Amino acid sequence: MTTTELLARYGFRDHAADRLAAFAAVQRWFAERDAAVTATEVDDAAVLSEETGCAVLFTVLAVDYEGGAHDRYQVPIGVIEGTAEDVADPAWVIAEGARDGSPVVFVDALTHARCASVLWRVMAEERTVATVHGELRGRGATIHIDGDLAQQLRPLGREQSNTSLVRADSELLKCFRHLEDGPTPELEMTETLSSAGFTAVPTPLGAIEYRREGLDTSLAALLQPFFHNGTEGWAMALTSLRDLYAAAEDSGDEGADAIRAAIDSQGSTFLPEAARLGETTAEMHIALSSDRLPETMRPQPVDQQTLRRWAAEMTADLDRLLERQSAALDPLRDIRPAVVAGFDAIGELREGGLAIRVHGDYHLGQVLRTDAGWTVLDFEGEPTRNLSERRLRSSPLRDVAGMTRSLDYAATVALLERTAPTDPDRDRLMAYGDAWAAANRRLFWGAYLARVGTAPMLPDAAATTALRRAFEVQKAVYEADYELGHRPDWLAIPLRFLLREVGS
Amino acid sequence: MSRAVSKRAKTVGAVAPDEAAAADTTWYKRAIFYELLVRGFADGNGDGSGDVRGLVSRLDYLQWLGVDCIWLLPINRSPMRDGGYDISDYYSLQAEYGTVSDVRELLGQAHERGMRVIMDLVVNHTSDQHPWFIESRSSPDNPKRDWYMWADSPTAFADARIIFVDTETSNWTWDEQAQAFFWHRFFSHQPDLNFDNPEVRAAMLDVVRFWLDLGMDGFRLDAVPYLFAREGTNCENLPQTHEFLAELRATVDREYGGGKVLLAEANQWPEDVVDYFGTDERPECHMCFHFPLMPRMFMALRREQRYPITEILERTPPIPKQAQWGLFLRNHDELTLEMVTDDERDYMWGEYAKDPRMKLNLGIRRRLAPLLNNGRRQMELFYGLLLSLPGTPILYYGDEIGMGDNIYLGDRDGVRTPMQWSADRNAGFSRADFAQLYLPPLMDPVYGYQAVNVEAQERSESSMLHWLRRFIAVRRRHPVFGDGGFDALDASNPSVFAFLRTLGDDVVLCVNNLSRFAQPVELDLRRYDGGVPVELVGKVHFPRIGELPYLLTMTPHAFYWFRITSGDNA
Repeated sequence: MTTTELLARYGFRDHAADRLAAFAAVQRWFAERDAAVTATEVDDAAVLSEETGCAVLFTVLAVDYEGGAHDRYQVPIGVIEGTAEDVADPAWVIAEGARDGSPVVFVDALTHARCASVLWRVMAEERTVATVHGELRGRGATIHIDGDLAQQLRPLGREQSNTSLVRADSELLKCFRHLEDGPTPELEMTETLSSAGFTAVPTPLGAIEYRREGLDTSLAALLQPFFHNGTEGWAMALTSLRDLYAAAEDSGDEGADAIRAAIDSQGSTFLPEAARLGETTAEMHIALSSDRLPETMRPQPVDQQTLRRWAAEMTADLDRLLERQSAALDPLRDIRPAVVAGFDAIGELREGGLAIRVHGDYHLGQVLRTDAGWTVLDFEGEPTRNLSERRLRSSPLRDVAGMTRSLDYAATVALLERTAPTDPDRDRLMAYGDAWAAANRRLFWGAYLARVGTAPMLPDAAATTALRRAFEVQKAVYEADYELGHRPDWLAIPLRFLLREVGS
Repeated sequence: MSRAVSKRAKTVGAVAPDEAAAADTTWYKRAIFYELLVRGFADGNGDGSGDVRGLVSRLDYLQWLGVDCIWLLPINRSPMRDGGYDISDYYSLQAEYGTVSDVRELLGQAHERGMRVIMDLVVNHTSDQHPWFIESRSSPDNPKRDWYMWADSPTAFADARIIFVDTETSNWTWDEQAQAFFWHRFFSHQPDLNFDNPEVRAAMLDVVRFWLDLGMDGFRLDAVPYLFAREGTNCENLPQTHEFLAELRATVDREYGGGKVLLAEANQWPEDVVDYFGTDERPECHMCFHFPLMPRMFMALRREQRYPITEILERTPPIPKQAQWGLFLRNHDELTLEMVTDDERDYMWGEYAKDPRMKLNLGIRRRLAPLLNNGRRQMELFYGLLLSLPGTPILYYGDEIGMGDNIYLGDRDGVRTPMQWSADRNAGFSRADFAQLYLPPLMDPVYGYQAVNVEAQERSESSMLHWLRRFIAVRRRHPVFGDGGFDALDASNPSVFAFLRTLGDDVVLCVNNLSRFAQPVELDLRRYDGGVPVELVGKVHFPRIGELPYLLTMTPHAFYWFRITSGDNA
């Protein structure tokens, strides 16, 4: 049977690939590429549920681009009796059709609780479902299903690259829209970390894997615990900063002593949180630097050759940024030699500690404060990098740099939120924000170092300082590149850091 | 409630609250407790010290406020070297408080008004002036020698901590007369009784019987974790201690039926405190104080985020069905900091006790109003939390009108100044000469009795007193606050603390803004899709709950209580 025949059996006869592509193209999870789409097709399909009135089909939409790029998307389809009028939100509708003479409507199954509940059954019953060109395999024998599943499900809400469902405030099913070959970092990392005894991650509860003939297995869905009463680190940091800026506005004080006193006696302080976060981060890295990990995740020593390669990559990132036409970058161009000298310095180090699997996209938005402390989320890595790059081992200091840069961002963003560029008070307030970021970075880093102790992941103190600084600068270069394209108003944030740290 | 029923029982004495109430054996779960110092509440005989007769004259006020149960700080005869927690006679009253027959009158009058009364009972130790100790120290052969814990050297039980670190250096003190060391967990004038001696346990049960026979509705048991000591332990929470408490409870239940209450003071982490409830089969105390919650509330307010509170609630294990937490904002002691980590203690000190005089025994001796800088919104938020979190609220006398404190009075007296009844002489507390008063009333321009007093606040509908009375009334109308379950709700805004109290179909949503700024919050209330939140005080109907996140706008330090109704009877 072909995918076309399978879809036709459920009444989806006309232009299925076009309809799916048109539906996908307007979704948040659909990757925008510069190249033009040359072809779309329904690459694979399977029947997940035959239930009358609500059959569920699994489909894979393949999209080819000019120049050879190629993406595959998972689009589960619910086949519902009725017409598009019967669907609560027209945005959920993919197409209409007819089955056995009655009208049916095809919807995105993940928007429809009754259809989506079949995914839990596939996992809980550890079902293997044959697709036209391969198979789907559910895992999750420990999932306990009771009562009416559909009643327990709700969508998570605003998301970018995935679509997630929450069950009874206790389980979160993350459905990966963009199917990629090979082990997904999210599953790999959370499984490894929880079996290594690091509990501050969402331990996988179940998964659905998809294997197409001739390709590596890819992850279609991942079931994780849903964290109750959680708040993103970013929101926590901004709450603290609003309190600080408001106090600073009231006081009108300036000068280092006044600022230090304001930080020390701040009511809504973030300092203990930053320290706990440093500890949690160190514990994550200690777990990832164990020799007992699977071979592909085991730590490797960072030799001089690796250090030189990193230095070269950092310089290449910088030069790619400086090639861009923007007068705002001129001050950075002026200090290029100093920046490069910092990168070159790490190439001269004899050793760089250990390269381990890292979080890869570590910032305040990826950590969640819960009643049990900090939890680390989303091990997918930087979304713009491909899968094999995201699985590369690197220095744990890369994550440290990500978090310390994020603290800096928070301080500035909270200020941009409350003042206009012309606000005469802005510079005075920024000094408070800088002091806040510096104090929190210091506590984060101090607690991190204290927790790492004598674990061998870091090189000697001087090398650690040089490496950490180089990763921070590289991160700021990456940020500048991103802001220039997306949020030119925020370009000043990384530039300020670069000019202050390197320029001085 | 029974006031209209009969006036005849006025002097008869041990009258139980009316029959329906007596049959209600879990009344304490829905009650409002009011803690007071007899010495400081009202002076009936004009000698400068409060007394039981004075208290009787103020019962109408407590009934008006909505108090269900009065907790009397120690009333037993005492040399008063530790606020009465050093008892020298369990069977009589501190002379200036009155007589046992005055207490009988108080119990009758309170019961007539539908109120109950419990008293502080110190079981762990006595005063060194108690005849038992005087006999015990007199000779190694004295029959009471073994009623206390004597030793030839101060070396035993080395793992027990010293609780009053500011005044004591050891838990053992040399007694010249006895030529031996005696064991004491608190002050060196408070020898610990030897609970391993069956005569001591029997004597203590007799004390309990005496007061219950008089009509007392229960006890607040002081310092219960320390009754027994065993080598190699920290001498707290020992199994023998729990055995005695279970025996005490069984005796009370057997001889007095249900309806009495034992409230334990065990200043420990919640996971250790729950042991003092016992089990459904072998219960110990009906109520225990939730000590760590209170400093966490202050911290949450300072941090402007809910985690200090939600963490400790998450760490609080479930308790037996009949059991209840006792919640308080302040009490006669201090803002207890034993139960927070060192970091947090330093933080609390830094924030709340900038004056070193306030640091005493790891605590801070301040009343609620000065602790909150006299902020009305903050006080309301705190009372809102006190009245809506799972547990029974215990008010401290004077805090209902926002009384201040006098930190220069030393020890714990700063929060024990006379109740401020009016702007009259001596705050309306006593007709004695000013110089005769046990402590001077507050006279400063902000908290002094000219500015802060019951009479003035009774006259003003917008006063703190009226505000609190209204919210107490709301709480009393809704048993869900006392009996219901508790669920924290997710809120992406860390400054907002939202939770549900549920009892069957009765669902109350409480939303608190811990920030000094206005805050938005989006709540996921889809499980009540189609329901209508009705604000509990004004009965205002809010927009119907739908599929979308439910948006509320909170003014600074605001809190709201909603009952979630079907909306059909809107």
